[in-house]
Amino acid sequence: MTVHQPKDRDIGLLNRLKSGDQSAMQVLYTRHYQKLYRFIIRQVRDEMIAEDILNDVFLDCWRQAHKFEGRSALSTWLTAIAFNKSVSYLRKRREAQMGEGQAEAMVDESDSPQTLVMKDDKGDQLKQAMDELSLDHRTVIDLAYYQEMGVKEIAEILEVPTNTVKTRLYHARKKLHEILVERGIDRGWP
Amino acid sequence: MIDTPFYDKETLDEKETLIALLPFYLSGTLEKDETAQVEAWLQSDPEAAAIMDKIDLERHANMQSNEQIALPKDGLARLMADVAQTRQEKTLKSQSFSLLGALDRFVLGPLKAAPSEMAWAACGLMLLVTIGQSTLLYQGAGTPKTGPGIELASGERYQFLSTAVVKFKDEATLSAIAAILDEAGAVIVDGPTASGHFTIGFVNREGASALEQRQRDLQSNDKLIGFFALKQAGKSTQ
Repeated sequence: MTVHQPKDRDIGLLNRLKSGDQSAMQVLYTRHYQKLYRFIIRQVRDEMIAEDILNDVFLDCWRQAHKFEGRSALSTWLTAIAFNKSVSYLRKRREAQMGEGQAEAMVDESDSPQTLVMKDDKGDQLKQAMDELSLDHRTVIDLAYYQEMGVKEIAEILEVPTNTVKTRLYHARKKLHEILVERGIDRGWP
Repeated sequence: MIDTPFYDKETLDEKETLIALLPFYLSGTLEKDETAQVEAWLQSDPEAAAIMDKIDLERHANMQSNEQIALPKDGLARLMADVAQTRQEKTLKSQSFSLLGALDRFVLGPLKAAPSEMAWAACGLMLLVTIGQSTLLYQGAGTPKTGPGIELASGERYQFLSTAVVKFKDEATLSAIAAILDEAGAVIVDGPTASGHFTIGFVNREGASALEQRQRDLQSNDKLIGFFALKQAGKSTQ
């Protein structure tokens, strides 16, 4: 019996997409939307915007399926599109706010829904501390831990050298430690 | 704070690099040579196992944090409606362009030096034929197909919530017709008849609750729509 790897199945679906098979789009969406949506919302922190970006990512996939060369996994390609769209949205939002002289009204990235609930549990403290990381640090942590991507894939998505991925993750963890220490939780470094 | 803090130095020493590789070791995404380096370190340094436990805890917390994020409910329906619309627009565009090119060569070209009355007549002809051709796309002449589902010439299959008979005003341009049909979530299914009527189908976009509003909006567009009648179970009701 032949066991198809997820990557092989994605390529099969993509070939069907290229020939205009809409049912392949449904399968592809079902397979990838959860991780993609969560990745996007962790960036933009707005449900409606995240849903719009998610829709745009899959529409791009539908329209540009012929451009996918299969050199990386489809999930990497989709995540890279999602990352670029999220960054583009955040940049526009920042420019608009600066332009209107409302820099002080900018969304405080440390205020996520999760931070509103304080709990004593160590795991919750960790989650809360992760939400307080800078966008760059949070993104690399999410890609490595939740998205389970490798160094090369993250480098491809963020468009940075592989060494930068390693240093960024190292410093993200270090910053996490500093936040926990500020809260009186010193579990030692590294 | 979006940018990486300035104290993120870009080089790590050997031990720092191994620490940075541990999360990837845990997720099984490291290359062979780096896996070997990490495993050698884990065997030789008692501190390494303790660091790995901390990373595992962080990983678990991050997983939980992500899994708690509620997912959108109707994302797939929205996407598929957009995909169907994209295909419709693409088909209309490509066919219209090919027709306009042909008309330019065979009709407008010879008429360039003709009197203005003849030029206006040519424009009218162009509009008529353009609409006719876009209709042929949707299975062309014959009995109107008013069933719940229909297969178009392009091979697409649509599920219609309802169908209607419409006649566009003489002054309506193809782009204006395409725009209002697009806005109403409708496609031309059949026509024109000898009297210039078309059958259109309303695609399932936001659900039945919004359908009536889309139909009302289309019907009330008196600049472009000359006649509008909903078709129900084989009969027309105006």
